[in-house]
Amino acid sequence: MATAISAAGRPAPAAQPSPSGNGPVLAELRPLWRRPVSWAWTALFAVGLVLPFFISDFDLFKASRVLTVAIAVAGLNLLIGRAGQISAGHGALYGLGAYTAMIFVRELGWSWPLAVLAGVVFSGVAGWLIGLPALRVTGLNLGLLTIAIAAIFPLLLSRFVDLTGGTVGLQLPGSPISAPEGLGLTDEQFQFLLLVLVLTVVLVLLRNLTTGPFGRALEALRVNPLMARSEGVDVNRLTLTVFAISSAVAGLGGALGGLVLASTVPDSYSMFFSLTLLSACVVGGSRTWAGALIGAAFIVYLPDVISQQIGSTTGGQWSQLVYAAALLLTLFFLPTGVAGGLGRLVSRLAGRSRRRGA
Amino acid sequence: MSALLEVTGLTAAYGAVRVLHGIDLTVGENEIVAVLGANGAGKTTLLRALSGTVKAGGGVSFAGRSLAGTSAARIARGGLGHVPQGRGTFTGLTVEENIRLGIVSRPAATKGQADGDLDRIYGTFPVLQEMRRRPAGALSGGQQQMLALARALLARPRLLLIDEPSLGLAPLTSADMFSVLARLREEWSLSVLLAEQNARASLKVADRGVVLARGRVVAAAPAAELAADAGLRAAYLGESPDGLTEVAP
Amino acid sequence: MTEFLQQTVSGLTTGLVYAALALAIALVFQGTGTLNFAQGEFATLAAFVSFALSSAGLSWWLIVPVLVVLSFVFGAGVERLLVRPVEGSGPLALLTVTAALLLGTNAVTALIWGTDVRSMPSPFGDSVYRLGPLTFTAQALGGGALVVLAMLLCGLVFRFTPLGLRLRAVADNPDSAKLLGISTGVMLAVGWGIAAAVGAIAGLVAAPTLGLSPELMTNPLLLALAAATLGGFSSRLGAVVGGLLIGVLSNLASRYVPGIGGDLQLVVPFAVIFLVLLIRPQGLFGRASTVRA
Repeated sequence: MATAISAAGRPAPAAQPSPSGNGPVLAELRPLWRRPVSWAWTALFAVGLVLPFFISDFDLFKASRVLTVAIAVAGLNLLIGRAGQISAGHGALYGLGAYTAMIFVRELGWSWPLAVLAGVVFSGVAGWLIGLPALRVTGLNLGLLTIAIAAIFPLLLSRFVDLTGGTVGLQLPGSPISAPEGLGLTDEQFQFLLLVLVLTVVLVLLRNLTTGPFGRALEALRVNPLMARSEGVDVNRLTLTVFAISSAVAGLGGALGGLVLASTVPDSYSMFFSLTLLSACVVGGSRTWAGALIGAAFIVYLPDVISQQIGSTTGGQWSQLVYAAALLLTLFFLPTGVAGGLGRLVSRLAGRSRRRGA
Repeated sequence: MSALLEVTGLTAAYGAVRVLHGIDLTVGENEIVAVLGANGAGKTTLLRALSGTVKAGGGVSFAGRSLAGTSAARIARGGLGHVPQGRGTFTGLTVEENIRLGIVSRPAATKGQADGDLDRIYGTFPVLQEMRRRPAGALSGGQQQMLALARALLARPRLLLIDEPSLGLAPLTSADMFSVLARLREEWSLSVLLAEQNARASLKVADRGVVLARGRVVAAAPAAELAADAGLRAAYLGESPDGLTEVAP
Repeated sequence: MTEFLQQTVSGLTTGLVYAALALAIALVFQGTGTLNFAQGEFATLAAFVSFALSSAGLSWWLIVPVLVVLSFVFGAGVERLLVRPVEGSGPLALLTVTAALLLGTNAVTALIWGTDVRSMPSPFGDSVYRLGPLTFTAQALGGGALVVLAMLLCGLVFRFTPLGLRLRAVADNPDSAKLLGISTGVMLAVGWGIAAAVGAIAGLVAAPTLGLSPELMTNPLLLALAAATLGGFSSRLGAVVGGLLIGVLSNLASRYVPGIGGDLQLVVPFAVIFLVLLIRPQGLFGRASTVRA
């Protein structure tokens, strides 16, 4: 193995923690089937395929929501963790995907796959438009702009009653995503399996995107935009593209989420939801894809856990308080998020065992 | 009488890159010491390490007390001033406000004399009095350098670190600058540690000189000796025959 | 014409609340370099505290100074304990902390006092005054005067006191400030404290008019952010002027532009933010060089 060995005989420290813990170069060189992380994901995927047959439809329904949120958080991870941008408004993009899909199904009678696609396209375009001011302003000002979008989105929804059903929102009698005949699956089982597949595809695509030349350009952009420009990176086009992709992915999650729920209501896509998504991104770990799943599970399951302990009247507020505390604790003590922290722990343990073995 | 500033084995690093590899030097009361060396020799880092702007290892003792672990603000309040490279002007404040900020770090006992000192500052730097009410950002490079000096002086430091005051200044302005530095010791009774690339001018003003190369002291002698030693100057200060400093080989 | 004047005056009155909140946001921006998204929630909390003190029988003459002191301590404490640890970690970390503060403070307020909207009696009474064709409520006059007083005091402190000079120095060039012996940490905490106190006055003045609930400042925050954007985050005067402009603009827009009424009034600040950031990011009074990101 080509690990750099210093004179003391210990492997040189990795420049950056990576999930497999061997240092960035080595992680790329090892074939996929040799890396422990790939095995973990494969195992998780297998669990996902088998799960629907072991848990109730009601629990599946909840788990499906985790998956749709995870898709959206993955989009946010791309924007924040990889591209170094800021968005406090991804809840609005999720909501835009949801409402678009819902309207296409309900008013135009489209089939759900096409409606979801419509949701993706609309959100992607919206993201591209948000990217335009991002070319001129950075950091704080972008956060400002996106939080303004997050705040105004539910108001716009409530206002255009004819299109969006106003504050009551839009509902369907049942989810249009139904299990095809002959498969012997319930709708909830089918939805969950579909979402497992979609999330897997999304994560694989995002991973490939960020480990290829696009990803390297993004990294250059994140670390030092001026230098990236001088190295020939078309910063403007890259920024717009990453905003579009990130928003399209969020819209995908939203479209699927809205159709699975068969209901879209403005209150679900408030500024607080956007900030909750941001918490999921940061707490999970904005630079790992596992973080998206962890963060999503955190924000979806926590309110239930708390309501069971404390009761449902104040459950929502206690959940919000816990999100805030988790966010602060993560920022202070675990800047790479739970997934990042776990990754480092694993790599330290693995490194120790390897040294002992060698 | 022990020296005002005693530095032993000072080390400093930026992240993993070690810049100072064990510096020894002393500055006595009312002494002007020039720190010379080419770009990258570590002069700025040395000053930053002393003023607490950069973390350092080794021993630094100022007026008999160790500075280890002391914050930059507290070091400043203890009488060690630092005029940083680039002047450090408060561009959004007026010239007078910039100068008045110097009063903050005066020893409490002398705050009463502040106004008297302010008049003396304006006496030493008349151009600053003219531009009192203008935003400091509107001043030229040379004027901002004067401003930075004035502000530092008003804090009545016992030791003043000055980093590359002639950088970016036209030769005439630079000459003015050095003549002010020459009078500092008498008019304000303080010690000066002056980091400069312009070896020739600095040695004319200083009592002693210390030459740094790659983070180490390679020569320390009275200024006159250093000035006369052409070989030293050529080797470490990269001086060409016309006396202009070039980047060291 | 009378209607127009009345609307303008009404806009100025609400604008004063936005101005004070915008000033608080600008102060934090100038010191710490971040936008405190939680500034509105701090103000809401202060409004609730004042309500609690008033219900406990305290006179308003006592409540206002007590509130100022409590808010100052709260703001300084938040900076010292919750913001300081991430101060060097970049704009995203800082922004996320303020987002966490928003969520947390909002939750705490709702947990303590519940989510129902209460009506809070005006500290200035219910009288109505006429000046020519225009009508003013005591709340508008008294509240407006209180906010103006708070902003004036703040401005005086910053401009003419040694403390204010130090605060401005730290905002202008923290490294140089340290070299002059100024404790930047203490100054930052003081800055947050003053901002919280100014915001508290804004909350106190807004509550009787808007109704006291945890949602009190959700919309005004957005308007204040727009005001500070318009005025320029690096200018204290800009924040105030921006607040007044936004107040008047929103009011006139909701009255005279068809389709924009009630909540949708918020399209105005959103449009302002969008346009200002695109055309002149430093705002009307800000300095281009200090667009910190």
